[in-house]
This record gives sequence, structure tokens and C-alpha cells, in this order.
Amino acid sequence: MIRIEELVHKYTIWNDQKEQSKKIAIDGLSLNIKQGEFLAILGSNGSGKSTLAKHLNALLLPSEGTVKVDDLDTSKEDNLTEIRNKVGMVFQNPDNQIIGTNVEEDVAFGLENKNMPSDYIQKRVAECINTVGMSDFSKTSPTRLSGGQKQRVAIAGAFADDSQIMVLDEPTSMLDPRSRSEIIGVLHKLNTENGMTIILITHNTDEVVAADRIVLMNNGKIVGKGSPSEVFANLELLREIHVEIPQIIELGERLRKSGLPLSNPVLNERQLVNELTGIWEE
Amino acid sequence: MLKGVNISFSYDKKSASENILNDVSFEINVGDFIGIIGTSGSGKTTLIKHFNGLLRASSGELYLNDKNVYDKNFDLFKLRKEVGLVFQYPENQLFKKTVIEDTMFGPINLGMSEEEARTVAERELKFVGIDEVLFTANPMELSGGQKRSVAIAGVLAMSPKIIVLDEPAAGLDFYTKSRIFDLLKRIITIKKMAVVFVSHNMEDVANYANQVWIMKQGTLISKESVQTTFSRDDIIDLAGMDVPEVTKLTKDLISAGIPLKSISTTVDEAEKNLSEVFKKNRGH
Repeated sequence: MIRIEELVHKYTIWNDQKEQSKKIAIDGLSLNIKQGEFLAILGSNGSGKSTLAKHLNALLLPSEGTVKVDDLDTSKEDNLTEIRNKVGMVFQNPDNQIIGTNVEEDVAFGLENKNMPSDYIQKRVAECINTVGMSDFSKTSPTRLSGGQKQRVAIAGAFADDSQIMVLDEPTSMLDPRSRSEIIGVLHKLNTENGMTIILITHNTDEVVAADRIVLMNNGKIVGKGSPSEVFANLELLREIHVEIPQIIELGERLRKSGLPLSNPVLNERQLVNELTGIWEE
Repeated sequence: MLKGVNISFSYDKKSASENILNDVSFEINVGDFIGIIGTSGSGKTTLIKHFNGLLRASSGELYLNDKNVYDKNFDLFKLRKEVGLVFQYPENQLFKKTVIEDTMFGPINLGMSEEEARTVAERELKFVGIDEVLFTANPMELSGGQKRSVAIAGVLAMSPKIIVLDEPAAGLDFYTKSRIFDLLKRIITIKKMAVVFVSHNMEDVANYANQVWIMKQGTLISKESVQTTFSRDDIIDLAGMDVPEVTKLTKDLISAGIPLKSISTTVDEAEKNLSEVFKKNRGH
């Protein structure tokens, strides 16, 4: 569905008006993303993950290499509209993404711009607002919503446009803990119930333990990938690239090393409770 | 050192129903490391803006070293000097051409000579871990963590007794975040100051704070140790907060009959407590 081959991205840094230098943010990266996949991209500040996100719907174009969405090359201008229809983006700060005077209007914005018939828009908007659990707020002004609610509206907007792929760049970093888990819940629902491909970029590691696949980035390169159980079985690599290790996984590793017969890795709290009570009762 | 008594605040002075803060009382002393938690809109940021007089309470009193700040004769300048505020994403507020000039800006405004200000700025930049070669760099060339350290140095250069930070770790990765919190710890132990920070991250609060304040709809509903705070399910629930994952784990293990003495709030603590009970159990 998305095919990235040997992607290089160079930023120009202007030291003063004449002098410039180049900084390589993505350094020969190749990756295939399958339809219906829940993919998480993890990496520290400056690893290139946000730059990569912006390539997925042609907000940035390759300096070298190619990015193709359903065989559409992002560097061809004719493909732009179609690519942006396919790939929705949600960014970190919800306040910068909401424009409607109430929730309904905001979610309808994309569809209206596409000149969809109004009864279709109404039906579709109601559906999407319901999916993200915001039906009670459809007439509410976005200024009266919490950060997590705004972020759900932004997701509904991307979803209403019939995007098949949603790219989220640290969507929870400004949210309180409950709103965070609500957002991650909505993403899993869109993924399993609506078959939407989700690409979640984050450095909150605990949000990725339920992903299908995790990609680790460092210095513009992919340095590891695999299922959560594969990635979290090698904590040394995560430490090396300065990625936070979720408390439960860290604790599981330490207890295992001290001699308790636990799985490697123990991915979540439920599993650790079960394994520890199992050991206790033996 | 800083004491608030029944502080209420409303943007519209006539209507008490629109209060953003309701009868908030507190005390901040040297050595305190206070984490303030609460949902968005609970009044955390409004509260900390009272600490250095950016906002003035609609009713209630604020005392700095037993002097009433709202007294007509009180010089607010004193409060601003004693209490330094670091906003969210402070790196967006660096504006001078070089790191050193940016750090000197505060002390010069306090009336220091250029020379004195430079000495103080150099000292504080070193304290926060900025290498001397970066003193003349443009702040925009620094990494996210370095920029944030420079912003903190700028506040320290005014020699406050209390430093208050709104979400000091927002947007930082794990490694950079731990360096910022280690810096805050050093500010308390070496400079004998108090640190207050607002956070959405329960694990950061559990790892670093020694006191947790919980805000809910403008009211300060709890001021307790980390241990007590996270063992009170009722309060955490009421405030719409969560507990750290290891706290949840230890609670569930206790309910499942594993005889832990108490809940744990950090990974280190959980490891120690679990190792102990399992060693005993497996020793039999």
C-alpha cells in the first residue's frame, strides 16, 4: 500500500543569507506498509520520524528515492489530490487543526471542499462523530472541548474524508492520561472495525505495545523492526537509541533476570499479574 | 516561604460562579519538589501564574516570607525575583542572538551591570550543563533539550528561591526528559530551592516529586506524598487521573493475594518489594 524505497531527505540550513548547509534527516530508508496494518514508529527527538510522516502524504518530497502510495508516486504533482485523499494526517497540537465553529462543521469541512452532496455529508459526519465517541458534542464549539476531545474531532475529520490511511504524529503528547488512552482506543477501533491503516508516530512507548508492527528509527535510519514481542525482547537496542521502556516491560525484565520464570517480554500489566500469580501459587 | 490562603480567581470579577480557582490554600518551602496534576482546564496553569504575581487573586491572600504580597506597600518586584516561572515550550521564548545574551537578559532587567550579568549567566549555563563553546551559539541551533536548559538557566540567573515549570518534559524524549528532571533535582539539593512542576505524566510525578497536588475544577483537592496520593483510588478517580502502571500492577497483585506490604510507585520500588516476597515464598 505504501512503498518507500531508499528515501533520503535533506533539509537546508541557512546560516545567514548566503551561506547554507544541508542536514540529512532521512538517510536511505526503505519500508513497506501493508493495508490494514497498525504500524508504530518509535524514535527519540531528531530521529527523523516526523520528517518521515510528512513524506507519507507528500507534505515533503524526497531529495532522493521514492515514496509511493498505492503505486502513486508522491513526487508527481498530478497525483497530489489523490494521495492526500487517501492519507489523512493528525498532528500533535489539536488547536492548530480545528477550524469549524462546532464539531459537526469541523468534521464536514473536508467533505464540503470535495463538493459532496449535503445529505451524504450529514450522514457521513454523524457516523464519524459517533465512531470517535463524540455524538453528545456534535453542536458544541471546539473551544469548549478538552484537548483529548479536540484530538478525537481531528481524527473524525480525517476519517470522514474516506482516508484509508491515517498518519498521526505524536497525537497524545499534549493530553492527560485518560485522554491519551481514549485516543489510542479510537485508533484501534478504526483499525479493527473499519480496516483503516494506522501509522502512529510517538515516543510514548506504552502506546505501541498493541500495534501489529513497530519500526525503530535512529539518525534517519530504521534500526529495528518487528512485532511488539520481538522488539521488546531486545531492550538493549531501545536503551541505545534513547527510547523509553514501558514500566511493566522493564520490571518484567528485571524480575526475570533475578530468577523468576517470566516470559520475555511481558508486554502488559494483565500478563504480568497472571504470570506472577501463577508463579506464586506453584 | 510562599503561602497562599483561600485564593480564588475569576476573570470576571463580578461573578463568583465563573471562578477558575476556588479557595486554594498551599505552602511552598525550600526542599519541596511538588508535582501538580489534574485534567486540562482544572486550573493548574492559572494557579501557578499566581505564584509570581502574573495573576492577582480575586480574593484570598498570598504571603512571601510572611509579608502579604497583596499589601499596597509590597513591592511585586521582590516576588518576581524570588519566584521564577518557566512556561510550556520555553524554547519558543528564547529571542536573543546568542545563548549568553539570552541568559543575561533577566539579570540585566533586575538592574545588574553587564559584567555582573555575564558572570551570573556563565555560572548558570554551566550549572545546567551547557558547554562553554555553545555560549556564543545562536539558541536556534541547539537541540530541544539544550534549548530548554538555556531557558531554565535564564530563570536561575535571577537567583530565585522557587522555580515553577509548566510541563517541563512536554515533547522531550525519554533521555532528554531524565536529564531535565535530574537538573531539577540538583536545583533543590545544590541551590537549596523549591521546584514546582505541572505534569500530565503520572510516572514522572511518581519518579521525581516528593509531594503531589491534585487540581479538580479549580480546587486543590489533595496535597499528599506520592505514596499516599497514588494509593487513594477515590481521589485519583475523582480527578480523572491515572496511577503509574507499576502502581496498578502492585494493587492488582495485592488483591490477588500476594502479600506485598504496600503499593509501589516506581519500577525500582516494585522490583525490590516483589523480589523480597517472591524470595521468601520460593525459599519454602
